[in-house]
Amino acid sequence: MRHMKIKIAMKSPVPTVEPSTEVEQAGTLMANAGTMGLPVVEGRRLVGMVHRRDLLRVQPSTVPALARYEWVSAPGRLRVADVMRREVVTLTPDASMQEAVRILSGREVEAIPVVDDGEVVGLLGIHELLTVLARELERRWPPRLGRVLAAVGVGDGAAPALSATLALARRHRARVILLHVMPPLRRGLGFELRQEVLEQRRAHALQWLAASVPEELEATVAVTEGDEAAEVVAKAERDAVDLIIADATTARAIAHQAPCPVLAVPAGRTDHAGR
Amino acid sequence: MRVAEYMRSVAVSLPPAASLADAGEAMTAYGLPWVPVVQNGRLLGLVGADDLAAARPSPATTLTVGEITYHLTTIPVSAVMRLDPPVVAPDTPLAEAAGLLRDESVGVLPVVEDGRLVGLLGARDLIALLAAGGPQGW
Repeated sequence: MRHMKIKIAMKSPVPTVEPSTEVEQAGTLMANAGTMGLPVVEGRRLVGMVHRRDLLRVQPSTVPALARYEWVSAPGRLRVADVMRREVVTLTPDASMQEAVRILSGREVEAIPVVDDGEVVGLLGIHELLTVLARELERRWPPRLGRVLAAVGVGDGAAPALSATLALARRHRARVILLHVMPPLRRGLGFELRQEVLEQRRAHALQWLAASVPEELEATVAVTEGDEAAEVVAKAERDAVDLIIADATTARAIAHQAPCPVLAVPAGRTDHAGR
Repeated sequence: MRVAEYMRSVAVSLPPAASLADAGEAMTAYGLPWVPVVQNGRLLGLVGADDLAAARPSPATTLTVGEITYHLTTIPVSAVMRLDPPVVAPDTPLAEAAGLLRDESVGVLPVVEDGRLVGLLGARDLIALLAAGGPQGW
């Protein structure tokens, strides 16, 4: 990003004024363009810059108690030549973002004219840099995930969906909900035996899930029994999650009922979301 | 990438009755182009260097320098501050904050949690990310 060139960020084309332009008109132009400054040109040659701050200096006070001591028409008679700065830092379109940031981080310069072959081709201010920053941040850190639900197996079967979930959660500082749905037991077992087996499995699964979450993540774990797709959808609805992460088979089964987007993790891919 | 990671603490704030001269001194002393106006821990507004510049008389004033200086000590910041400025929360995504700083054309976003001012996020602090190559991972 620091090697990005400013030509992708600069405002272009940009309105210009001449030394003879009235200050009031320059103010209007600047406000309409939404810039913090305007290049001052003679013909095509850059001869100065007029910043918003330079205009504030010659405008009457905004406070009535002070404004009543001023000659009302004064700024109307002033020309850009009276307030502009003649020594101007310029950049070429190929200058680095780093260079622009260095200049704009100081308090003096509010907008940098971009000059190519002696001609003004654009303008770069904090406004333009913020636009690039917002876009880059958005691209690298997509809109936030507050809570993610991962439907995972236990033991080896957990790997792809689990690691994808942890990587995503770390990126987004999201709260993680790990859900393991135990398949229903075969009929035929006695009720008590059935309960006992289920309890054992549940305890084992809870323990395993709890142990798989790194300490720095906020997580809750849950184990239920039944139809996996139905259980996952129900849990996602109850906990108002932003995303469900599951292996491809489960993801397909719940895709149509899910209350939120579903991320399908192919089996065998363990390095999915880190990049 | 949340606001909390990049905000700065509130080094200085002013009560609404503080004067424009107080605001100017605070900005100079702390090297900041804005100061939050706070009452009982709650944010009322924001006064920036530009607000002060706009409040200063133009050269067409009939006042002497001494008179201007005097007036600046009598005018409260509440007369020129931006009321109810846009704010963010500590967990607001940084991208959203950057967009807000741009769209609202403010130099700084107050960070508010449970109605209290807990920090400030300056536009210049943010764009420094562009030069630094950003946080790890850029």
